[in-house]
Amino acid sequence: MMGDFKIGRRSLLAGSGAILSVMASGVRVQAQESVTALPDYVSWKDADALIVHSNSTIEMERSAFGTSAFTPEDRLYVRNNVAPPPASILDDRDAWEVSIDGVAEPRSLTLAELKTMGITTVAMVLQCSGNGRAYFEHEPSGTPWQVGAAGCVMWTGVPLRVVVDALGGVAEGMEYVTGTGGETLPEGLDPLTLLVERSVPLDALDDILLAWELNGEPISLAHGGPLRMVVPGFTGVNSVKYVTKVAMTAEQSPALIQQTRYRLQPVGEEGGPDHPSVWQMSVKSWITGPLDATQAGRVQVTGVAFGGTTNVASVEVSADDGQTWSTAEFIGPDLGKFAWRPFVAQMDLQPGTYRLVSRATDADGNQQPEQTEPNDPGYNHNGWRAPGIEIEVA
Amino acid sequence: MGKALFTQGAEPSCSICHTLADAETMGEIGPNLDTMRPDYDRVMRALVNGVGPMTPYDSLTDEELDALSHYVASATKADNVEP
Ligand code: HEC
Repeated sequence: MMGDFKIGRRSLLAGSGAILSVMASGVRVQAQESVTALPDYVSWKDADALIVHSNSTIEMERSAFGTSAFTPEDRLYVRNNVAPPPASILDDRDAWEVSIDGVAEPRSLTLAELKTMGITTVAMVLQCSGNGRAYFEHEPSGTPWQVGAAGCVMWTGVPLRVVVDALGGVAEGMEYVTGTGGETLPEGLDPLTLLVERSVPLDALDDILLAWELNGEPISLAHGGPLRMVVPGFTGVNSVKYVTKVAMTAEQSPALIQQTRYRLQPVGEEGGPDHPSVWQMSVKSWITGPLDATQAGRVQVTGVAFGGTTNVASVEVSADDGQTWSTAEFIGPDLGKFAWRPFVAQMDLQPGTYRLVSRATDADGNQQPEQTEPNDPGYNHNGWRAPGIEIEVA
Repeated sequence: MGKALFTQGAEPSCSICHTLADAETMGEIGPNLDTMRPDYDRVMRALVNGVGPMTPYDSLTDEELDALSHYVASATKADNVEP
């Protein structure tokens, strides 16, 4: 048995006795971990709306999405790559300093000064790169997120472009925006293995915010306060928390989290700089209700849909696992291309068993695939079939 | 054997990064294993494949990997402590 582990390195466990439940669709979903109390730094969150995978990985219950155009912070998922810094960093928010580099006149600015430079608000889907990992059949390591490692939130801050221009503009030859997180790293380990430092293409510069508010409140420690570099349209890891440095750089960060982690390598391979980085999100949607038994007759089938870096154009819903589709309507305000749109399809359902799925198309015509091509670490899941919901109509 | 590996045998030591009450370790970089309660296979996968900043523990023997996976699953009272 143990020999198998070594022989089948990285493709191991395919047929082993991991706890799996095979859903009616044949989709394997890892059994949910035991529910435990919220850790101290998020004790203010709504425990009933959350699934605690570990102290640093907490997902929103599917039933908590409802039909809201935005997600309250006390329900928003939490994912910290390394433990957050001490809460004392929030004692004097305005004194927080961020150094801006790779510009004509690099220097350090306090949050107080940033607040004088400009202000804007962006509504955007914040989604963990691994959201939907539970739906990959090769059982990747890491948190088996289902749909709840995502929310739509409002960030307020200064556009990075404004700051960069005030400092003389981007220096010659730069290709990336690289943000460095302020986590405290333990002694005795190469800092690059743990440093949370992410680079995104310089093209994103015009969308990036240095944000100090989330949904109109100062950002909590869990979500990256006092200052977070927010990259709309990109997965959560790219929006660096407790940001201490923002640099326009010629190369991507040498940190492991950039070089080998968050890469889309084929199943069974190690990630490396030659594999695509986990950056922009793709079109995606999922059903948010009903999730349980329902009365026959008119049923309001709801969900959320987003395009990633472009508007979501349309969503279809199926009650027969994708054999026939009907068009859903968007509900509520349109908060812009980075936000999600709640939707509803009104369906007349006779008694029976149904499997509800949804499939979105973005403004460029990209449609969610039936299944996402697997990648070893289980990132960027956006297949429409696996997150479906089976319901009984009585 | 599993506990000794957890606190010192494995290099780098699990204790630098993980809290595990049974082993009296308080690392805060990675998830608290007492809350996570990973079962045997999940620990094994993390050790063999690596996960996040954990690089694969290639230097451990099969017997050591087995002992460590069994130990972490048992110490956290995971649902499955066997492969
Ligand atoms: C350098 C710090 C570090 C060391 C050393 C370390 N870990 Fe981890 N470990 C982490 C981090 C961080 C994560 C979370 C990774 C993620 O979610 O991306 C993790 C995750 C895990 C997980 C959960 C895997 C999953 O599927 O989510 C297990 C189990 C685990 N570690 C066990 C161990 C054991 C046993 C050792 C010692 C042999 C060890 N770790 C050493 C940092 C470390």
